[in-house]
Amino acid sequence: MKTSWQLYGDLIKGLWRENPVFRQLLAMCPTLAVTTTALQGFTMGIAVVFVLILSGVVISSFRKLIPHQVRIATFTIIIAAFVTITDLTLAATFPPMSKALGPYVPLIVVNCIILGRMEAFTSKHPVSRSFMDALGMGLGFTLTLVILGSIRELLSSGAVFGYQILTTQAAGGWFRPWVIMILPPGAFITLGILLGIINTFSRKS
Amino acid sequence: MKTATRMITVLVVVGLFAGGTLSFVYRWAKPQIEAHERELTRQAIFNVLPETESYEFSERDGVGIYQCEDTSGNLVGYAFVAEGGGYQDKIKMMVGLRPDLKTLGGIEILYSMETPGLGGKIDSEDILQPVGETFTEQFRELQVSPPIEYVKGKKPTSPNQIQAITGATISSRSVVKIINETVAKVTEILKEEGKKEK
Amino acid sequence: MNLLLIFISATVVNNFVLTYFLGICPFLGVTGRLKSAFGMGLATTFVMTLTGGITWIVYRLILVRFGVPFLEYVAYILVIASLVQIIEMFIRKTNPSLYRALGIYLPLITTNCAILGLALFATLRNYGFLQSLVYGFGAGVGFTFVMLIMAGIREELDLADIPKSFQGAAITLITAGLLALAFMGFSGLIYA
Repeated sequence: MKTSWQLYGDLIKGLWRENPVFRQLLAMCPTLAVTTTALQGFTMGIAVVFVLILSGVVISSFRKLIPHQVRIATFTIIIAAFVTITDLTLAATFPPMSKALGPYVPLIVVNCIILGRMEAFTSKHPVSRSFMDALGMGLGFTLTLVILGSIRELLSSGAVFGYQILTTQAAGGWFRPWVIMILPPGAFITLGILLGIINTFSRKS
Repeated sequence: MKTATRMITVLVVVGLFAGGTLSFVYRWAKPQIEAHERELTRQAIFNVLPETESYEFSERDGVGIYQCEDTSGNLVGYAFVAEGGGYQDKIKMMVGLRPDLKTLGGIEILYSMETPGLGGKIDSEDILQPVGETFTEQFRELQVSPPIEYVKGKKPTSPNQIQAITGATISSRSVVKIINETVAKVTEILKEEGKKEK
Repeated sequence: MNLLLIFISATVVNNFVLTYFLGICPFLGVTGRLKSAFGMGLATTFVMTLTGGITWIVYRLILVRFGVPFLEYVAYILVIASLVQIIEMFIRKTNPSLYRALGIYLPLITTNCAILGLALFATLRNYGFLQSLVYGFGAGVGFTFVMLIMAGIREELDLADIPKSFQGAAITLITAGLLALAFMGFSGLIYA
């Protein structure tokens, strides 16, 4: 019998304790690529949540019917199909965001979080728990992307989610944007420092 | 059921189901995606040749040209997409050419991936000094014959000059080069047509 | 576009790891030792070159021919997974010691975003068959190049006095950032 406490646990663990990026070190590629602004990170995160939940529900529902030897192939087809649906839907409904995220939406197919979760958890647990697990991991991932995206956006343009917080010199203020934050080096270094800081805190607790 | 048969059946079923669902979603999404593209093109054309009321597309010699007319049916100019290499990636823009084939209506950057803060300014609202305009604004009613030139750090002195972005000479230079080359090509095509009609 | 330009562009100017953020997982995971980095790089380059060619064939001769371009992602990932599977079996039969050395890294190549990424990019840019092959090869060489540099640096870093919290992934990322900064010097190398 699944207790609601158990389901709650499945959901929460993805946010911090088993955070896919900071703790499990998965899906670094999109984390670095689509965090130039907070909104970009958020949109990518939601897309991944979408794919995680849909794939998770389908795979968990049919987990007893999928033979062991072809499970990876089956998971992959299902995930790729849902990613294609997400990509098409995004292109049709939010074209500017679709163009900004570009090829990183189809790259969700090889996002290690999704296949990893399907293999480690979803294929072995009932739908309700798989749903919560998928949701938790996805939200944890989104949280990470938004944090990283906010830092990079703030330091490179003074705004977060488009809302100007620091007035730039061009607008008469004091802040001189750090262009490096939008570029690859900025992404690597920010994530590296963030990881180091988080490791310091988890070590203490 | 034998394991091998079972494996194949599952894969085939999943594959068919995925393919079927995808073709449905594709049929739903495709018209919307195409509509967006057409809208973007429309807006770009209106931007580079503002008096346009309607336009007609035709492909001549491999180049797609939009012939634009105003409300009275007079020829306002020709709009076309110009593309070429920039500093980091390609640059794609909509160019509007006046009927005299010597003046630009204007340009709009459709795609660029230049260095943010430097070459990226070709597509921004930043006002360049001392010329006092944004980069693309400089191309409004600019002369293309003789071909466009760029100057650095000072105000342009001839009607076919623009000021390059400080610290982004290559991006600015690429834009100028792409426009000059494409305008030359389009002009040649249109002149050939003019000759044929006579 | 000139094949040489494509190659140089894929290798250093638009390096897959440092510019497009692809292949980060093996970049972080397999660069502890020079030997494993080299092996992984070699295997990946091989897969990438083949992928470039085969995905072109699949796209032009199957997907486009039958009017189902939306099956691109599904088809490509299946091609890549099958390729890796075949290569794994091949290495196992012909060179068991290499197979043991690469161990778990081989199947992991499938989820290397760089491979799917290169297939997608080549399709997006409308490369021809030969161009896609060269692009895949260049991407692999660039990937191996960066893997070797990072592994070399990390072997030295092992002897340095790094704060505990920063050991492992954190310091590797920061190092990668400095590397990316250096590689930015390559942009503008090819001025079309």
